[in-house]
Amino acid sequence: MTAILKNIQMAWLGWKNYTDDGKLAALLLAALLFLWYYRKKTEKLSFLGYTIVVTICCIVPVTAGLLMWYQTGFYGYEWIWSLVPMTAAIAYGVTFFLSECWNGSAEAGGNLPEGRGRMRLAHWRRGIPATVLLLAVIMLSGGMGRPSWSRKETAVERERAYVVLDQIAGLCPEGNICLWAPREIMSYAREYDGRILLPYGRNMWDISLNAYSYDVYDQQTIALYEWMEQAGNADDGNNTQTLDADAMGAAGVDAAFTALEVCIRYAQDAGVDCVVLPETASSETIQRMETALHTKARLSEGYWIFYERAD
Amino acid sequence: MKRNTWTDHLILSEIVIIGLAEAVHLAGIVFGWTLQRCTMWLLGAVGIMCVLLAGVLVSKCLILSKKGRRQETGEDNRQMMPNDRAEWILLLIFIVGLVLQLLFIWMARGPYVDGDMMAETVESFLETDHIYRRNPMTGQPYTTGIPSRLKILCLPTLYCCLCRIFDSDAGIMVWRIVPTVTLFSSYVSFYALACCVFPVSGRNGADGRKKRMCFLIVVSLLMWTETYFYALDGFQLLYCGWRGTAIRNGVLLPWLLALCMRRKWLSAFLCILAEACMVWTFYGMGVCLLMIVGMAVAEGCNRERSLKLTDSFWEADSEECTK
Repeated sequence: MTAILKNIQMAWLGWKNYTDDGKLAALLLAALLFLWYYRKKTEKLSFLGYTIVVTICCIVPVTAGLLMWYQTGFYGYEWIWSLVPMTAAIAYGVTFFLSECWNGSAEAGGNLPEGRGRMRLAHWRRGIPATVLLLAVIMLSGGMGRPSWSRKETAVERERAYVVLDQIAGLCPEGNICLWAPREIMSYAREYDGRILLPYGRNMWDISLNAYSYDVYDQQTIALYEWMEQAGNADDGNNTQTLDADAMGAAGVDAAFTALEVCIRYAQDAGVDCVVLPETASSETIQRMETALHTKARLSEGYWIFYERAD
Repeated sequence: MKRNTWTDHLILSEIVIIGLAEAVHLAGIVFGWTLQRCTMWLLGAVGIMCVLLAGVLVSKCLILSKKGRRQETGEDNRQMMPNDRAEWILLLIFIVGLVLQLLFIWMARGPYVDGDMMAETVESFLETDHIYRRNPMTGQPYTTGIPSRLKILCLPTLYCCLCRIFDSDAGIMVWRIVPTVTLFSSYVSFYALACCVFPVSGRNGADGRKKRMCFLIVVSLLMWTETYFYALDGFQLLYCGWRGTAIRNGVLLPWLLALCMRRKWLSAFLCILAEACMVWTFYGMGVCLLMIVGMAVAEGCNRERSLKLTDSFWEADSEECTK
């Protein structure tokens, strides 16, 4: 019962969010109203009736809450709209409207039984303005040119990461390589090459992915992530504020021991043999990393790559 | 409209392939089959299915020719082709729209992967040659495991098998080829729906075909419009057509609507199974079931209404006759 009440509340807020970006829901309602008005002419009343009822159910918070309960908590409010054949209903309404505009029945006062409902190029005087108007309405019902997601930025980030990952994969042509790197590299590592293993995956920052596994990260792994996220800003690699004192105690680490060395120990425990740091990391951090890993760093595409061969 | 059309056959074939993929996927999980073995079995099963289909098709053609129905089917086929200028223009506009969308899928530099790990899962399966032996997110062995409802979803195995069969890169298969097939199948589904809502009959045949084409053009426009929000059909089909939700919303649901309107409940039931194999419905029953129930009720009401209308018409008619 509590879950249903919570869903009702979420549905109320969900409807507001759903109609914030685009106005497709408004276009759907307009199409349904139009089809309802002309329901005697429509071929399939069951389709129209179903769409109207389900649309109302998705808008009214009580029924929307029940639908959310049905689809279970994994999916948000917006997914109950899968039940509404929105694209089909709008397209049906628009096609019906256009066919009414392009046919000759209206010009003849609706007394053209032979030609009723027939679309003809000859009726362009009414047809073309109506078509242009509808096209404009459909186009403006979207996000008005506002992108919901920065595709270009993601693409640039992915391409840059692939160049770095290509070099990392080249360091060990055969066998696996365990990589600890900034988020913008690790996000694409597993999709680039299945041989690249990670101490933590994309689910560390994309929490929706946590549903795909029962595994949880321990404190040490979280410390690794937090250290790396600040590695570019750090002055000397001593991001002790990101390390949990209990975790350090559990790992048998002396409090005086600096954070970078602690994290390297955590990383080595996790099997990491390749570390990548952003170019903005301080020279002291680079130097200490080189000392701890007994390797020489090389700069590539704005990242320092440290590779420690296990053999 | 009880007879199966080419659209039904096409979507049904896809559902059968999903069913076969589910079978080999489960075998991979339960019996620990390697991906190589799963691929061989899937390929074999699809091959047998194709041979059987070809056999059925040939025998059907032979029976039809013997019964002298060739002329009838010939007329059906001719009806599908445009036969006036307006129809050709509409068809051309639709094809241009479709090509633009295909170009968008193939030329796009970045797919939408938020909340999705399909590419990682496929890479992981291909690397280990086993199903869910390692956590796709990290490549490390699982410590506690994976939800069983998620584990039985077959799309990653299907895509892996396709990668092996066509010797394709996982990225190209998942982000390019599969979305192309999904988009194409989606239009086939919408065409099936258009055939239901705009039936072609007698002298109005050309008009019905124009309306169907117009319907498809509006659908393709709406897909562009819907790219503003991730839960809408257009976004799903153009940005992440490999996902189970995209296939369900873009392919299964429009076809399901068409099936319900034609009261083909058995095929509709297959959609519920296909959804269960592809989409993580958590522990719920999925969208297809609810849609079938809704449409069954709507069809029932519509039937009752038409029966009542027919009754009242006969009553009025008989009264008039008595007078």
